[in-house]
Amino acid sequence: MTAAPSIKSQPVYHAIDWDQTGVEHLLFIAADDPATLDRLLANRPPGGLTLVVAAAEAAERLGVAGVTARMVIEQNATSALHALESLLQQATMGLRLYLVGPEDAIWQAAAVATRYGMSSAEIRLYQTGTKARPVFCVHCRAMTRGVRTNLADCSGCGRTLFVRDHFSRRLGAYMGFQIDAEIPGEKPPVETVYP
Amino acid sequence: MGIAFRDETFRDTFTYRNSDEGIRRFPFPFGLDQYMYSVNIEPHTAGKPDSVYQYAFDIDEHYIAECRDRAITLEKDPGRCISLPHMMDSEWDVLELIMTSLSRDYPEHFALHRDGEQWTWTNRPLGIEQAFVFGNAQTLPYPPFEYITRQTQGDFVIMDHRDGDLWADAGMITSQADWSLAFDVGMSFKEWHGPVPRAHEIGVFDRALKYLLMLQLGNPVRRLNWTMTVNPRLDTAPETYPDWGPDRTSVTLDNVAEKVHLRVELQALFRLPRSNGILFSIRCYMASVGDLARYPKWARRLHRVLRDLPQDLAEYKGLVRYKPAVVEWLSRLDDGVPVPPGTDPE
Amino acid sequence: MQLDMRLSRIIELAPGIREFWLCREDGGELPTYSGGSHVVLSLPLPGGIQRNPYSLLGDPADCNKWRIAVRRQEQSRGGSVWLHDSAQEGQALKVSMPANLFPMARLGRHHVLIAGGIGVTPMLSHARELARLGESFEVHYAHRAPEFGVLADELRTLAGPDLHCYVESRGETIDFSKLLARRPLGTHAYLCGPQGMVEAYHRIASEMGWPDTHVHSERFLAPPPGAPFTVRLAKTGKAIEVRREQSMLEAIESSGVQPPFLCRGGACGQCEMEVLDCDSSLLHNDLFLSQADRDSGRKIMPCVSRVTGGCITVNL
Repeated sequence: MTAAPSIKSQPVYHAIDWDQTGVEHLLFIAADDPATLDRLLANRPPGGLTLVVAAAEAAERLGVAGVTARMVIEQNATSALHALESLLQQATMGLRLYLVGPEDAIWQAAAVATRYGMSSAEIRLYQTGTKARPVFCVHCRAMTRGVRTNLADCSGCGRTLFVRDHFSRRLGAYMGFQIDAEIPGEKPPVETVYP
Repeated sequence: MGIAFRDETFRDTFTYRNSDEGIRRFPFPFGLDQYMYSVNIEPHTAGKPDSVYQYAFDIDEHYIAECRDRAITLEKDPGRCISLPHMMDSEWDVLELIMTSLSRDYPEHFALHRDGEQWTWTNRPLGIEQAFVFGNAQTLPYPPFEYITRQTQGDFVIMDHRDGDLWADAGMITSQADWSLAFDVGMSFKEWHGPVPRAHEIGVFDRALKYLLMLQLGNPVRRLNWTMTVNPRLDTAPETYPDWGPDRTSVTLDNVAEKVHLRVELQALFRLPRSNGILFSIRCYMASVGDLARYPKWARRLHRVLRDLPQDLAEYKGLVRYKPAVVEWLSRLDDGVPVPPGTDPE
Repeated sequence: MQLDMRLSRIIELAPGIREFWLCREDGGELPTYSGGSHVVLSLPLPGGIQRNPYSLLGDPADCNKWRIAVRRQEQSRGGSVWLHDSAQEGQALKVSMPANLFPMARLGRHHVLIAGGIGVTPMLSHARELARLGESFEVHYAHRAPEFGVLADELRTLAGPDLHCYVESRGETIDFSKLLARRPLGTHAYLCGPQGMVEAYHRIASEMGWPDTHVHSERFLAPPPGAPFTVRLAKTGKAIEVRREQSMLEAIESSGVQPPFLCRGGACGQCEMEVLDCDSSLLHNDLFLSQADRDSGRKIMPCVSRVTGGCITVNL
């Protein structure tokens, strides 16, 4: 169990399972998580199932395992998001979307689904793989991806940002602000906190 | 008799001051010696004449200077005004609400002439006369929400009401207590208030949300919130934290009375007719600790509240570096006699 | 907040269906409203004031009048019968401000409006809004016989060929499993109609995988009559008799106490009261309280719910 976050905007992820109220299911895989995926695929939901796989290891393993669902395999996250979008364009009410992977990828995918009018009642998210954070610089509004430390240099303005637990679902990112604005140079030690 | 507007600044030279009348009508938020969160919501009905509660949108001696400061902030950062695409009906709702309120309550300063959809708006303090077609955004120099909130004191958020929640989907935010519209826009009620400590645990936001979802047309409500600011600076956004953060280290016992300001937000909530959304207005008042302390009741009470403020609230409000100086300075004015409940200055 | 209004026009739309226009007594402008809004009319029945909610069906931009349509319901508590038999043009009435418990989903990509009988009224205001905003929508309107298709012409000017009528006397009915099939993501459905229709719609939408967030309905429950009882207000000690055909909320109001309310149909939760004591059984008729709330015996919605007799004490 994860402790309740100190800032309530931070997402909390529960073990993912099929939503039995759906009649079509779309599983978006951005990181391999054998335990989770094998459990899900061993117990498939009623109705059609489509997989969009952006994680090479997962694609290979699922292929070898002979998973019979319709499977779209993409080489990277960007092309996987495009594949997801073209599937959602054709999709109809009754679909459930499952997003499995690092926060950066699954929240970008959730943003695509939101554009197609899906509500949170139709989407389930599960964080797995790297805990690295996408960070939105509140000063210059640049996004810095793959942040594993409490402090990070902004990819836009170069300031040293402190990564807060405040999370925007619309941006799919955590907030970063300059750590030493009050007293220049006064910074805590850098630690890896998002492995 | 109109309002005598002051020529003053909220940055660089910081010439902002309150008149004696401005201090007397200051919405001092502490009715008791201890501060804690509560759902302190009451009807936003007409209050006493010459109080900040007299009208729906309070206009005071700082009006022209505040509009000027907002324009400077927007020039540097247009991202302080954001409205998501589905919010256009609520934008017109807000324009109508503010124009009809100001022209009714301050006829010497504002006028609105309506002939069907043909409207003419007159804003004498800012020297504006604008004819436009209500409902046609092309006939205004800015989108309707930005247009009218550039001419109104205070920050504004419009919340969309859907799925049993309120979503912060539009805002004009240039005088905020350290939160970022660009980051928070689109958040649900509880996500948006996510960083506030303690209040979630005691159910404040559950109750507030339940209450606001029932908010009725024609029955606005209000509450007060507060923080402190070093120098009378309106724009204390996270965006410009590198500009104002260092001010927090500049407070000494010698300058605390002039430099440190109590910052009170008169927050009001209005159900909007066309969109079924809710307008959240956040009207900011600032008064220096020295000015407030001219009323012995306020000096004693402010001292006791700050002295006993829990550390996590002090951190959240950004007071930690300079609170000791404020408390020490105020302690000299607090002889310990009991202060009767209530927020009035005398 | 109540407005002093007057019935400025009465139009016979069909046998047993009348349209009423309401305007302000002082001739002033009316506030605008959003699609799906309703107002509550205070009807001066011989036995006391009865407050009934009605959907606004006119043009929200029309600040001179509000329009409602009312079907005569013999089996109900008399409000609709009074509006059909006794109300005259010029009649003065108190009317609440509009409230909306049935709003349009502004993030929807397509909207399917479904009306059963007099349930057409909120669909008119929705269709008007969707047409004004240029949104994609369609209307499905089922009624008993050709002459009961009231306001269909007005709907057609808004929806054009996307208005579909179903006349029961010709054997035409709405097949929800067809109507809701193969709808693009982001479609929202809205229904106002009789209870059986609402239940079938929700059941079939759910079976077809539609999430509750996209399946909207409005149903105003009329407070069912029942045995008379006494309600005691704990804070003042006041004891009030609730008559057979009166709601508990109306009885409390007639004693001069004005609790808050919005829908008066058991849906919104605004008038919820805390039960301190009850020497009979609670009869819950609302759509708002959870099963846990009901089981606790501590809460009641006085707009539609009552007790089997005796005395109930509420924290008021």
